[in-house]
Amino acid sequence: MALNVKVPSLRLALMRLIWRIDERLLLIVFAAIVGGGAGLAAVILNRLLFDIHEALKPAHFHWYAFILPACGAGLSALFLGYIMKEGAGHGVPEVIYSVCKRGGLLRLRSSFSRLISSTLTIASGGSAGPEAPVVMSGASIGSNIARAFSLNDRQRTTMVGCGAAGAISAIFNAPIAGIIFSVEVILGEWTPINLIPIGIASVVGTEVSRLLQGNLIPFSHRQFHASLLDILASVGIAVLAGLSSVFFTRLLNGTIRKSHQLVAPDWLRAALGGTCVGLLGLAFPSVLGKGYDVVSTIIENHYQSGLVLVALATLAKIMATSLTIGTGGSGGIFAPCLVIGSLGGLAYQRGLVACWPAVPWAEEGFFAMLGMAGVMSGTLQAPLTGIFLIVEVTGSYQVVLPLILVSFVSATLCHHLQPVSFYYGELVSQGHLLRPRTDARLLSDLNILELIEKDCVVIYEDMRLRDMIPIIEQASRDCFPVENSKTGDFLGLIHLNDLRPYLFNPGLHDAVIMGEMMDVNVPRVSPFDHMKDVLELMDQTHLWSLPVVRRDKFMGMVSKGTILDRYRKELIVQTH
Amino acid sequence: MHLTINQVATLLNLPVSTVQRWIRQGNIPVYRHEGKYLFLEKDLVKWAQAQGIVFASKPQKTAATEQVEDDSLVSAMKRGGIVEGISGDDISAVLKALVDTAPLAPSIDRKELFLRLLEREDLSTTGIGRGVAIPHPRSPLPNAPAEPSITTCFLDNHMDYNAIDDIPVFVLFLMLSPAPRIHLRLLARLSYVLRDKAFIDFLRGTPPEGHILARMAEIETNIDNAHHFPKLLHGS
Repeated sequence: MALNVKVPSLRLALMRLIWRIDERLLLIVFAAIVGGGAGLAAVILNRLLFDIHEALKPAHFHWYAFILPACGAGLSALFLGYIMKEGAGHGVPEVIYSVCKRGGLLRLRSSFSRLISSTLTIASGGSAGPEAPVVMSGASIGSNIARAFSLNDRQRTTMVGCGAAGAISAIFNAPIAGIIFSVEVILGEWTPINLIPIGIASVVGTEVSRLLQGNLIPFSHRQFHASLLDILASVGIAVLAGLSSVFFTRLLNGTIRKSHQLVAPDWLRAALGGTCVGLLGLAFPSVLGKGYDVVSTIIENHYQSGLVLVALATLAKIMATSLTIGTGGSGGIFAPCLVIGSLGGLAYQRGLVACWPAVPWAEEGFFAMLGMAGVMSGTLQAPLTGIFLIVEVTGSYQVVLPLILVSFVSATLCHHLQPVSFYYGELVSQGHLLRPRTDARLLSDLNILELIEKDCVVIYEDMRLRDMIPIIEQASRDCFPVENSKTGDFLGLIHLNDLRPYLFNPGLHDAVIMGEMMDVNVPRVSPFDHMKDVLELMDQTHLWSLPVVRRDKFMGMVSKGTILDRYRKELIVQTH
Repeated sequence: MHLTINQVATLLNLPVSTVQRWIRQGNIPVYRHEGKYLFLEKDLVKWAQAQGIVFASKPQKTAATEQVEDDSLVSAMKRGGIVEGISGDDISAVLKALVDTAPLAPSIDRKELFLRLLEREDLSTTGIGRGVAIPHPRSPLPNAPAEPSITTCFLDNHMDYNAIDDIPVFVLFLMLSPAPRIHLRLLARLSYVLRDKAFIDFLRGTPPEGHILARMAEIETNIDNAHHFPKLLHGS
């Protein structure tokens, strides 16, 4: 016997340990690992961007500089399309899709693919942010660690959230914003089970980034002194930021649509978009790259251009970002939002000063900050993320009141004008945005094969009414599917109500066959139909049960009674 | 105690595929042991209670309802036996004599039975015509035996039983069942048998028990064949 005892492999031993320890502790341990990984990804991307940007700097002063973004974007599209075989885009919708539909499953290669492609796009001058690619990396690291240790969907989804939180925390050195972003945008739910690991990941991610690149607040500034008048004026910047966000979102969606219609090859489309960005960059150099230097300059009140130029630069940045991301360049909208917001805020301040020169308005940096919060909250439709991110990246807690005001007004305005944010646009239009505990989510989890009832007595079209009497005597249901006795094909349905008037007329017992009495127009569903469509069909036809038919063969019935029972059980287990 | 996924699915009254999905999604507490999913009953009960999900909800079939499928008229009649030599002028007297002499299970309270039989006759007569009556209590007696019985009773004098066709009654079938379903099943079979005029005439001759049972068995086989049910059920 002793000879038969196998030496368990390390993995097996580890798995046993994992299945034994408490779930919360397990998630915290994994969260720390995932947060560290995401933090590392953020640092690597930052480093890459910085180095390549430095290396390319001399080229930016030549006339051919406008070609650079084209090369970067084209290469990035080629890399994603042919080497990684992934779609273009910034990654956040993909992460949300995986959380909603695939239990948080993401491919391993996603953990580095976007880092490389976005480096190519952004370092060459494309107008996009490095945050979304890092979110994708972090999420993928979380997902793949969870998969390697066979965690379940709920735990894996939490790990994806941890990755996203660690990524945002590390790249902005903003741990609270990381937590909020993950909960508000990526997961869409707030439970004690997932919040704690996300917090841990955020802490570890930030700490990794601080150890490797120092504890720096990205946009440090002087103290702002905001009067009551300034706070009143912040309503104006909120409206302006909201409108800019809507314009930005629509232009972005429009560019995606139009450019895909006009140019088919991904790399060519991205390269053409990059060329346009390069040409814009000749006129407004500030629109190129992730643009953090622009934000810093504005916050420190060193941006020199006048009102008209700043307003034009804002517009140019919106166009450049739409052209970069909309045509297939790789990068996110976080950084562009900050740049658009700060430029817009500056323009607003210049406008205020021009209109009422006598009023002692707050400094440019103050309005730039509010603009950033407004555009961020509006475009992402995530006001909490906007507030906490700006507070953390600027270290300006003393202006948190106008920040809250601006964020919420802008988010509300955007929600009114553009009900679905840029991140969710495609997901919502395809019905893929399934937040936990919603009706859509429950219905997508249930499927017909789980709900099918097979206790039906099948009858044949050539049966007489007399043959039905013993069947009715014994059957527990009052619905009878009718099949062709030779081929077994489903033909129609007979309800007991259809038979009742004739059942007690013995003269008819041998005179009618079931083929004459059945309802052939009964709506049928396929076993792979979506439950939402099935319920809609039931509502339209006022039927309580429908036959499930596949390739003309009857499989069973699906009924509202069973759906209610399962729906309730599903709701119970998902809300606990 | 450990449970397998199939057992858990049965206990929760869910298809196995739903339980598999719940495991995958992390909605149900489960352990893994040597590559297999195992559930701890203790944990599951706690979990189900916390969630308000009914666990172990399979409706328990009682012994009485299970038996209904295969119990025949003949076996019930064998248990009830035959009583002869009863006479009386009115229903009450006949029933009293019948209850006192019939070979009933010892658990049955004969006084109670007699009152219940009278109560049933007050509601509506059990004289179903052609000289036959089937006295029985309206609902099963409190401590009726698990198996039904039918006692056949030939009367010495043909008496007026308020029968539906006013024909004097010459034979009584005292039916005692543990459950209404069993009662109805036996009643259906008995009335089928009694539809046969030849059988009634045969009974009028007060045949011995063996002959009655043999003839009954013959008719009953016909019933079983007539109700031959095509095997068309899906699944089970």
